Amino acid sequence: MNRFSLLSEQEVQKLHSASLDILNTIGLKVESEKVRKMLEEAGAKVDHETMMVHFPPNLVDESVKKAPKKVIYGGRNPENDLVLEPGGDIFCRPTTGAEGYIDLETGEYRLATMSDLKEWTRLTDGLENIDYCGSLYPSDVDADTRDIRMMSVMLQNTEKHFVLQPYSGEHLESMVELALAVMGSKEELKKRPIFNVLTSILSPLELLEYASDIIITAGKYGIPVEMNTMVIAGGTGPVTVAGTTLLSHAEALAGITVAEIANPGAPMVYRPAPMVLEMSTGISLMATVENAMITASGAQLIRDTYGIPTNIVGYVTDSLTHDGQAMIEKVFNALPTLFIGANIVSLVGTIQNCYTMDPLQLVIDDEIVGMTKRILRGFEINDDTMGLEALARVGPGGNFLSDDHTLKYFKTEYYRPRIFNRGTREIWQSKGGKDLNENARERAKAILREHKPAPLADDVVKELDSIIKRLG
Amino acid sequence: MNRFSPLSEQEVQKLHSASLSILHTRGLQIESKKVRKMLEEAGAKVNHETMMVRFSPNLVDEAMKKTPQRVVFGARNPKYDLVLEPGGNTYNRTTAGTEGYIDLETGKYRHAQLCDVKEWAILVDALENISYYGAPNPSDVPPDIRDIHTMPMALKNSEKHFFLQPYSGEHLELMVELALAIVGNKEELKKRPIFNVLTSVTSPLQLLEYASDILITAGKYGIPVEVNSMAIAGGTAPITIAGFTMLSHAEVLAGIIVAEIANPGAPVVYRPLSMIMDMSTGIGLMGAVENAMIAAAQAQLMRETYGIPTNLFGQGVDTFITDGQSMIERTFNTLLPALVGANIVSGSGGLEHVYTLDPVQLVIDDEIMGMTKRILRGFEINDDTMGLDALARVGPGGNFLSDDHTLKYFKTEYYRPRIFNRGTREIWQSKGGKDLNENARERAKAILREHKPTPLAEDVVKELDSIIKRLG
Repeated sequence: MNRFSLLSEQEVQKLHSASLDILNTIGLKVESEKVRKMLEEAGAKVDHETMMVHFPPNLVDESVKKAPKKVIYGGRNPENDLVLEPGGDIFCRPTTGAEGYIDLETGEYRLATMSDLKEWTRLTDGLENIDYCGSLYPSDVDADTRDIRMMSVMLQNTEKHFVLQPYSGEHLESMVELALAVMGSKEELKKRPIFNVLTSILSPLELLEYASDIIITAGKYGIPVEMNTMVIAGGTGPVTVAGTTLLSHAEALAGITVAEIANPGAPMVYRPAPMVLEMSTGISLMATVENAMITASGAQLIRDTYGIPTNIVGYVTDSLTHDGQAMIEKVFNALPTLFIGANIVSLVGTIQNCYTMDPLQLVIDDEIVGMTKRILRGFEINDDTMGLEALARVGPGGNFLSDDHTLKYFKTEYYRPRIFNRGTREIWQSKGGKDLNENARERAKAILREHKPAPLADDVVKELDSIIKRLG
Repeated sequence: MNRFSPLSEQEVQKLHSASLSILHTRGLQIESKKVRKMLEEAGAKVNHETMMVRFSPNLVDEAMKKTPQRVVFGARNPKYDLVLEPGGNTYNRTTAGTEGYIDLETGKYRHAQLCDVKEWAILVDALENISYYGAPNPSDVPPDIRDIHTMPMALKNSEKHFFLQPYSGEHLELMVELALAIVGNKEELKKRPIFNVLTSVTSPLQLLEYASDILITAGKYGIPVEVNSMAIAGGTAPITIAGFTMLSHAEVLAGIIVAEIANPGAPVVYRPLSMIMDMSTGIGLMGAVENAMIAAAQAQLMRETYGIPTNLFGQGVDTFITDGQSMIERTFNTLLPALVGANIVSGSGGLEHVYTLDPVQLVIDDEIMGMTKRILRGFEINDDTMGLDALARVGPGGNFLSDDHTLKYFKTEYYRPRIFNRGTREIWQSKGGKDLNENARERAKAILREHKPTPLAEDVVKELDSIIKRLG
């Protein structure tokens, strides 16, 4: 299937040149003196008083070119490894760092707990279309070291890759320690990193010290960084789709530039997560149609310039519950980006934009992702698939049901949904007349009952526990 | 915004050539002797015994060249006129002709009645993103004249363009009579036809007499015809997406050719439907992801060959209720052909393939269509929209909220949904924590309470009633 290009070539060029121009003429405010010095040595124009760093376009271009086009996200089980590369498979993940959780039984909202994190991780592990896992913020652990503590739970409850948001470079070092307990050596971790981290530029155009610490520490160990930007259109960025696309792009390029100057070849993932300020309420939205255009444009911008991996917010909703709005917004936001060809489309299982994890929604999103995979697979057009001979065999008023051509293709041509209702109204009613959400709930419970991720070896678990204990 | 072209040029050519080849080497079985003679005179190869009519590629080409690329769907009120043309607006029509109706009060399924035709028309009249519509099949009128009966009730209650499926050419003549009571004369009706009709080629490759009658009668009066093919993949058509797309293309082209040879320049709409045989239940599916893929391929195929108006079944779903599955299926089915450039995506308000109408679903589909129109509108990229001056003004750490650029664009940049929930959980819960369906139901009821469609003049109503009375 052809890829979609929302923007024309000239439009891509306009946005890209304007981004480089902003980084040159307006610049980035960089909090860390050490990083400013590093950038100065690399050729940036720095004013240490105002903390402003101006990047000549060449510097950005050369630096981002060092970022690898192919990045591996390893899984504890190598079967779950993901290869992010131009034209490669498209993956998905939930959000990372949400505080809310929807109870699977009651549908009620609560602050997430460690037990929810366990349930979440196991469910993700058991759903075949969810490619890697995201963390949530449990409220029942020490807030200062939450980021590290979560990792131990995730390592034990999934064999898939996962993403975390470290609070600092130091905490990232502890996370690396946990990862090494599982991976064995730094070389192995660098080759197949079993976790990646997300950190953000502060819009507009500020790189805080904790963030540059994380970027540089990650680069040291070869831990991929999802370079997040969260421009709020009308608030921390221009109100227009064009303006927010521009600013997100510029900010991400700036972050990637810093990463590559610090550690040339560091694996980076471009990750714009724009929001839109609703003027009447002051709320920040992530699932508007305009969000879909901004994120899809971001995906195309990188695809058509540097080709490094992208993680685009797609399966997103502003709805507070797993209702029809959630479904509509998620499909609507994901499709354009998928057709453009992002490497990862995120926020499955998430509602209330990025604030709440919902296990019921995760199971439904698993189905949606299955459908999108089918679309992306496309279909072959040749004399055989077109059934020319079958047509000749089957005359006017005839039937293909028992024709060889049908027998040959019917098993592989169609995606089989797990939780959709089909058939007649009578049959459906006789089986209880359940709606999608009820089907999804049943599936979630079945997975949680039956699916057991392979446990870690005892000694590894011991080592993880001891690292966690040291945190106090 | 660029249109999406999932198929390559060669793939489009492969499908199109194979369709032409089928029409040439095998042809269509045409029931009406009169029509066969007409086609024979026009150059088709006819075998009156087998009733097979074969069309050379030249003949197809000549006929298609006579087919208008621009078609006007008129409305009682000219402000609701629709212009179907290459690169034009994307319109939406409701599902029509259903037996079932979901009661707005009780939410329960029942058989449709004449009062539902009225309710449906009023809703459509008020919903700004529903461009035109058809009505349910009322069970409380004599079955053999049901097709005609809905027309006056609908036209009395909405000023928008109306769609019907006549049972025969004779019934179509009666519909024309009804239309003339409103429009006044045949010239005006031809210029701005206030209704259009649909008729079908029977798969595989049969044109029944009632259908050719309708095609030819419609062309006489300039009533646009949606030329439909209703094949079922794995039943009356090859099981594969490629085979299905190719056959439906051939069938619709054949129907159009008959229409154009009978009345050169007759307004027609390319309208291949798709259904997929669900091997486990024997049901023809309309909401599968492959249905969306077929619709996209069909839209592209016509766009890149003859460019005449297309109507793809957009909101096809297999579920019986307005649940999450409905939303997922219809969003895929709407967005995909719309992005490819279909002139019309139809099926709003429909459930259970084409068997049931639901006023709550209609209100939701109005929202989906609004979103679709917004994304198709795209966005402008220039120095001003990119906010370059604003970015320079605001600088790192600043805010765009009260910047001139924001004030200039915030009103026009964003689509404002009517029934979506946004904001914090607290605010949402304080307002009752309603989900999408509840919001939609409230909106439907408000419309029915407050919206008063412009009535027809009394003498026109008298004439319509007298025509209907004559039918017995």
